[in-house]
Amino acid sequence: MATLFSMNKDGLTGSLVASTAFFSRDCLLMVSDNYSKEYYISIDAHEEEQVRVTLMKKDGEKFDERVLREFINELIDFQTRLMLQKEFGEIRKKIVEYAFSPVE
Amino acid sequence: MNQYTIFPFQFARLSQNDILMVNECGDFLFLPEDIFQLFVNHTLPETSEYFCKLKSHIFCADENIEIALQKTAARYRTRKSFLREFTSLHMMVITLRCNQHCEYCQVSCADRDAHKYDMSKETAIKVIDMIFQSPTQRPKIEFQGGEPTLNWDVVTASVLYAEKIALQQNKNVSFVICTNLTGITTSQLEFCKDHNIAISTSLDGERSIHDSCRKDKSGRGTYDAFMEKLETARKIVGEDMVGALMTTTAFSLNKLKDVVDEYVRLGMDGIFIRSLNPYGFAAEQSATLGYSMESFVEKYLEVLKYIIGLNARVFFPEQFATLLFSRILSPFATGFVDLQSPSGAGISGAIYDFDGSVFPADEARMLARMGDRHFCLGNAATSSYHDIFAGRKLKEMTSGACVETTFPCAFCVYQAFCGTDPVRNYLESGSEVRNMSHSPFCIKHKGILRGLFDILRKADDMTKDIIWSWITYNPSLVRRI
Ligand code: SF4
Ligand code: SF4
Repeated sequence: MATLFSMNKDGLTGSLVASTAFFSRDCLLMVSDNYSKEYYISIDAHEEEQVRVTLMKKDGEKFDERVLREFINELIDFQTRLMLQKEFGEIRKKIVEYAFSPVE
Repeated sequence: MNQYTIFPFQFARLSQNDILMVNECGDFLFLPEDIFQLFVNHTLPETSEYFCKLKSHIFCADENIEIALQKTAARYRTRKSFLREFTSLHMMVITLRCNQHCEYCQVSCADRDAHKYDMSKETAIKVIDMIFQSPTQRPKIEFQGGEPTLNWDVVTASVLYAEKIALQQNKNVSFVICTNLTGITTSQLEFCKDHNIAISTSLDGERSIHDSCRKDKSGRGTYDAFMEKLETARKIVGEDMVGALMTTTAFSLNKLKDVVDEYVRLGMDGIFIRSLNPYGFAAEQSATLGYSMESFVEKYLEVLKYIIGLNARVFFPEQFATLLFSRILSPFATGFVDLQSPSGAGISGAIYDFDGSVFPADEARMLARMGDRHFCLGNAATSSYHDIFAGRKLKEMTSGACVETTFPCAFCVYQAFCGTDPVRNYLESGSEVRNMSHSPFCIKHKGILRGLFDILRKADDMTKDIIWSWITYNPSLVRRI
């Protein structure tokens, strides 16, 4: 899950490289959506099993490197959520089924 | 790897080291980051204190999964019990006419003499017949406007007829009249007293704040007229039967403490700090009246802390926080139509326009006034109860309106306490189901819920007592100075 941060020389964009072996497509898209109000975001293929995510502030302000760290933390959290969803998906179905079945 | 089974939950980071976890039945826990990682990786020792906590709050189960499942399902059913009260709140638009002309009015208030916008007695009777077909044992009928007192004969006829039917069906009906009070007469107030009709009125704050938006037809402030009638109403109907609501505008956003002080000065039994509804007239005037949802959340949390501080002296709940704290700290459902999953539109509340048209929510009616009848469920005079409340339209709308299946709500830690609003979604995006990220609805509820959990995380004993006194409406839980 190695990631690589880089800042563009003009200070307006920041990039990170994320492993697709660890972060799923859904995870990358959902976290990007969270940032889409404030940032222009592009996701491009990098090396094998890697993508480069580039962020640029919509208001033209300088890019703060901390956002990249925050972004990667969000990716980790989201991947955990997706993993957990898979794990307890069946249990959730049962809870709803039990909850709405007639009381005997 | 330990053999425990993880039960459904959502999580978020509240601070560097504090993870908030909320499970399917709305139980919550704060966990340090390292413990959280051990837990989700199935490496938390089953002998640890944290494991016991997680197990007792049903975030996991070790041997007997079936019992944990039954317990969770029972709590889940309790939280969704509002579904059994189908449909409890019925709002009747008695007239669109009004004696005032408020800056943020959402009903496109008609002139005093535009009687074509009055509900007729015949329509009112049909509406009440329909209301009493709802399975609920406790229908609540709310008379709205415009200003409903301007079509008083229909209010009285509706009350008398509803009381008669309630007696026949052995149901417990209650009434509320939403009135600006400024034109109400003594005999109208006496009728309210005789028939146990609660009064819901509007007070935006002290004189300058109130008068900045709540004006009469000639543009003059209504504060003095309101105060005079408030006193009379309280004398005749009783203080506990007269409640007021405020609307936050750009004029009051930075003066919310003054608004609270005015409510306390008048001996009101609490306050509901409401954000501006951005539709109807208010949308046209949003440049002068509006503000961003982010700034509302900031100011709301600021004034909430002020109100909590005040409660060391006087019992004075903030009602929106009370509602959310009840959801967070108690297992019970709270009947707040605007914040339910599935959406409360139509299934918890319905609104009947002056001409008998039925809508699932007030915004849907406003939309129809603007020419889009997308949400019209039918007409009380011509459609059957089944067509309206078990029809395709309401079913389709409700089945898509669940936080559990909406993005990003399905992954949101506040899901168990939040809700959806398909009408608002449609107004904002043209679709009943939308991506909620960055929507004003989400910004507001995420921001406020996060703030409330922060208060809970840092709460001392006094703050906890205050919160519980609000939830239980029991002032004596707090030892006051
Ligand atoms: S009193 Fe109510 S209906 Fe009348 S103008 Fe004001 S907000 Fe509109
Ligand atoms: S609307 Fe926002 S706060 Fe509410 S459940 Fe959805 S994502 Fe969470």
